[in-house]
Amino acid sequence: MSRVHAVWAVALAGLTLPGVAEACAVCFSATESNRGAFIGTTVFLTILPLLMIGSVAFYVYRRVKEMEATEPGA
Amino acid sequence: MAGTMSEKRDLRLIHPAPTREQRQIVPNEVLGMILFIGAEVMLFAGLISAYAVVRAGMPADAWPPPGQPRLPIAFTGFNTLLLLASGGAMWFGGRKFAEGADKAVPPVLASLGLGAAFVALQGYEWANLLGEGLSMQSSPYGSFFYLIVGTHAVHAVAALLVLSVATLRLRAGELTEHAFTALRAFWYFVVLIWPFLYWQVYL
Amino acid sequence: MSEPASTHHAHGHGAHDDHHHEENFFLKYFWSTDHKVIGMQYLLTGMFMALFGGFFPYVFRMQLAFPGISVPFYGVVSPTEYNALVTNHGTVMIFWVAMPVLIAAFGNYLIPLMIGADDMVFPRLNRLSYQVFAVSVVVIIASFLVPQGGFGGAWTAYPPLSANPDYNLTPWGSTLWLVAVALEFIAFLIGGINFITTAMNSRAPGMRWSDVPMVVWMICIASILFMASVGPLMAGAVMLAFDQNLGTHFFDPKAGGDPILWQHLFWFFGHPEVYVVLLPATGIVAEVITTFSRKKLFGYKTILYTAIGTGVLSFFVWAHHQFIAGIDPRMANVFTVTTVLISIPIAEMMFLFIATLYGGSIRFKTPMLWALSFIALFMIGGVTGIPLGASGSDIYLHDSYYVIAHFHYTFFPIAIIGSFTALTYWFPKMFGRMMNETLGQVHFWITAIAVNGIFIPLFVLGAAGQHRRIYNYNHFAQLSTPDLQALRILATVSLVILLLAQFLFLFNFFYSMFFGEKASKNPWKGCTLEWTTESPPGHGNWPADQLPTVYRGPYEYGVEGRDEDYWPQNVPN
Ligand code: HEM
Ligand SMILES: [Cu+2]
Repeated sequence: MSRVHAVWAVALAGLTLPGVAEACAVCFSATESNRGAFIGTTVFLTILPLLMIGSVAFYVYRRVKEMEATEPGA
Repeated sequence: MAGTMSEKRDLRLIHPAPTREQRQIVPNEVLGMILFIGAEVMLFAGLISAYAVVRAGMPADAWPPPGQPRLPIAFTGFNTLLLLASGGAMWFGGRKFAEGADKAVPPVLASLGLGAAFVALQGYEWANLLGEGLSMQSSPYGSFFYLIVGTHAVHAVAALLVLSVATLRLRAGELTEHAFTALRAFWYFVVLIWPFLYWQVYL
Repeated sequence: MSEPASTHHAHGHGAHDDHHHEENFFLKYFWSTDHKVIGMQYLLTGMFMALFGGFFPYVFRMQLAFPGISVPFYGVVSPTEYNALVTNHGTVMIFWVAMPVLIAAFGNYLIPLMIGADDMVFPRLNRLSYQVFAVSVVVIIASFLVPQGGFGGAWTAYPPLSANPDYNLTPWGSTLWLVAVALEFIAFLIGGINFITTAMNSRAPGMRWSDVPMVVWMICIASILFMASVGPLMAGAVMLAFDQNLGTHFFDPKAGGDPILWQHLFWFFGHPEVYVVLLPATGIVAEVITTFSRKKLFGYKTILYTAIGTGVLSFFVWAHHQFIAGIDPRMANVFTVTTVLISIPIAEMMFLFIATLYGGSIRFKTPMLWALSFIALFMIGGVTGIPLGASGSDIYLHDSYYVIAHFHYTFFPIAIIGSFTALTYWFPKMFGRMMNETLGQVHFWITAIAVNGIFIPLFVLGAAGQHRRIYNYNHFAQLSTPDLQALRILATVSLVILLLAQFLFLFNFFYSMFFGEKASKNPWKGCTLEWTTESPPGHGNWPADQLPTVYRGPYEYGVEGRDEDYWPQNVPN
């Protein structure tokens, strides 16, 4: 890992450690568990469709390979 | 040059050239159903996420809200088993189809019967809960319960109706293999999403 | 036992029954399963809705430029009406213009023609899709006619405003609005399933995935994005409808609900949705740019991978709409990074288009002018998104006219310019006649200049701190800025010019449809399959024994050593 990579890694890790933004009134009232739920469902909702699309795409890819292998005259 | 090139291409043909018969990568009906189920999964994912967020926003002692009836975990657990059995029967019907469409009818009927029993028992449970004072308006707890379980029930009932018609066609030998596969796939979806909902909502 | 083989012809009609029995008018145009007729239905409905939704900004911009006047052809605008007009302008333009025209109309019309099929794989589902869509059109129009009028809670429908009739004052309009949107989604869900299945299974013999024209790819990717993102919004829509009508409190913080939750469900769909409309437009532009610069599309596979990558990334950016809604700051940071990241693939795609132009022998026909203006304007839209994506600067810019200008510099190129590009390019194929070139260019120049006249002033206004969604600035001492009134008037005047110019287009469109010069099979000398059949194509697209076979990629322009500068996909050698 070069120094550049290390700098990037630190910078990215730093993104997870901000203080609470005081610009908004709502941040304070929300409970930690509620915020955690928002983050959790965000991850869930984002990953789920990609997983589904990915698996269907993989299945189709396999089918295409299979069909090419059984192509008459191949 | 051009000749050899097009021959090389022929090897990768998806559809054989001489006739216009399609060689379908994934049969039309099945692919269509897979896509539809994908969208449906996202619908339930949305409902469950909403539920998780609201639940997490509640103080721990307010969920389930005091004074509201508890959900019958054991009863519904039994019901879940019924539904899973229905899915199993449907799977068996699919296996039997290879031996002849009429052979598939009895297991499919069994599956529909079990599915109908699930819906009926679930309705009975609703009636009881409503009687005990858990309603859509009584609390977010009740709202989400009826919303999520109700959405599932709508899917189950619709699937049962469509599958009943399909069974008639199956008996008449009019249902094609791929259409049957697609319909079964939808039933598997209804069956398999339920344990997940049960886990989230009841447990 | 049933014969599984019969599913190979799930078509309601094959290429076999080509004989034209004269159907009556109603059956032919309202009950048809022909993908071309359905595409045309979507197109004309979408154009009608563009006029419907296009009239609204005329009314509300007049109100902003000259507060309180009686607007010609409308009358005095009340605050409630103002809100309903703004709300439904956005809703109609996105859901009833951009989507039906770019995806449904051209998807239906082009996909079977471009992949050499005689129809969609599920023709009857296709008809159902249009019928559901037609009902949704009736519902959204009806929402204006009910007591208290149309919904006025903004196109994003944030609760509690949208959830409670006590706040929004439109008990009927808000529910009808939701119903219409939900119906529209169902129509597109059905349509999308059809597009993807058709493109996968009905391709002409020899058509590999890298021989599929870009616009077909883009419409399919857009459909996948749509299907993957619409579920949570549907869930939210049901919950909102219950809040409105059944007395539940899903989004009501008073009773334990969570208003921010709706924003998540909405934007989880909302941001992918912008790519749902963007991708088909870029596909159209790609087709036109290659044809009119007589050059192979630069980086076919790169564009494709970029589009897929954009689609994946588009699921990771939506919370940038909520930076100041009180979301967790950790989340805001992550979404800042992803938002800025997503501008990279989009920029890359634009540069690939420019690379296609480089060194080509460019022909400045009307479709090409539209395509080029798409690139120019869309770049402005993308670049101005970056200050919004940086959560720090968004605190200042959010909910200002800057945001309005940003997304109009993206949506106008997409929905309006993209549609014009496609219409002017495929018009000869669709109607068998050429459009008038001079009128087309005059219309182009007026539109392309006027749109900047509208939105550049709005950037300035937004940067000066003007809030969006304000009925009358003079009602608020802090917002009243008489020195900026000239800019508002400039924007409004430009808008009126832009709207008037559309009559030129409408005239050209209908006049050319009947009296234009007859078009040949292939007036633009394109390589893709739709140009190998009659203009307009008959039922079944090609005579049953002449369905095309594909031998090469879709963009073989200017191949060395050939007499012609293009090499159609279906010519063996
Ligand atoms: C390419 C990079 C882009 C970036 C970085 C970007 C960023 C943003 C951000 C951060 C906002 C929220 C602003 C706010 O409300 O404070 C926003 C709003 C918006 N963007 Fe973009 N955007 C981009 C591209 C697009 C595209 C391609 C479209 C349309 C096809 C689009 C359509 C919209 C719309 C409709 C809104 C406003 C929604 C509303 O509040 O009514 N954007 N954009
Ligand atoms: Cu966005």
